Amino acid sequence: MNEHPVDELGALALGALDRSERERVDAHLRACATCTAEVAAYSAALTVYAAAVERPPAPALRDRI
Amino acid sequence: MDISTLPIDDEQLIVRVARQDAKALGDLYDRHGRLVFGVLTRMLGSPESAEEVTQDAFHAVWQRASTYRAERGAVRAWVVAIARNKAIDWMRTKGKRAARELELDAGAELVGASQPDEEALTAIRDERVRAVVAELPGEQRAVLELAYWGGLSQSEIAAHTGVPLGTVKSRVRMAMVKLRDRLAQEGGGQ
Repeated sequence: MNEHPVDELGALALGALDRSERERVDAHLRACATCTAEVAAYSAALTVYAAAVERPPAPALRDRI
Repeated sequence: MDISTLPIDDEQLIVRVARQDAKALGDLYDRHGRLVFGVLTRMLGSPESAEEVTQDAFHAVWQRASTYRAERGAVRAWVVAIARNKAIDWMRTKGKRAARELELDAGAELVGASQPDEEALTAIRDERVRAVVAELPGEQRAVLELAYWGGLSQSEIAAHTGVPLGTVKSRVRMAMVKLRDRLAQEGGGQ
């Protein structure tokens, strides 16, 4: 098992890793529930961070989804 | 009792979308469309572009629903991540990226973007987010905003700002740890 990439989990959730870094961390996550749960926590925090910009789309957009 | 009227959670909806249930996709849109559209409007700078990319994003949700993994995070976070990736693709292909990437002072906009008719709980949450973001040292807030709203990777931030990559990484790490510690408990729902 590789060392846990703890320093990169936040950047992964943020989408800020370059492709090769992301692939390496993703490979680790497939085998590590601990780091995967960390990524889920970072993602949850980002969802709250982003929620302040929520705004309703035009009603007509729904018909195009 | 008609089981079809029972409320279902996002994970059940995603399973239905993976089975190509169009109504389930519409339900997901009703739950998360406001967030997706808001994030995309902020990233792309125009409602017209945001509408176009919102369509792309939900089309990708339709195609990729079977790849959703609950252990990686909530459906809402997954949908937003897909939408952000679509926005980054859009910025690259349309060449709109440079105009927005150095817009550092997103904190004020984050506050200003709140809808006047939002419920009180939402206002309290937004106020908490604003306070947490405001507590970040400016250089950490800047990398967070460049990455989240500008769609830049850490190495792109380093290249554009002239800040060493190692420094950018440590700023991102510290900003994310603070967000997680202060906000993650509130993000598990919906």
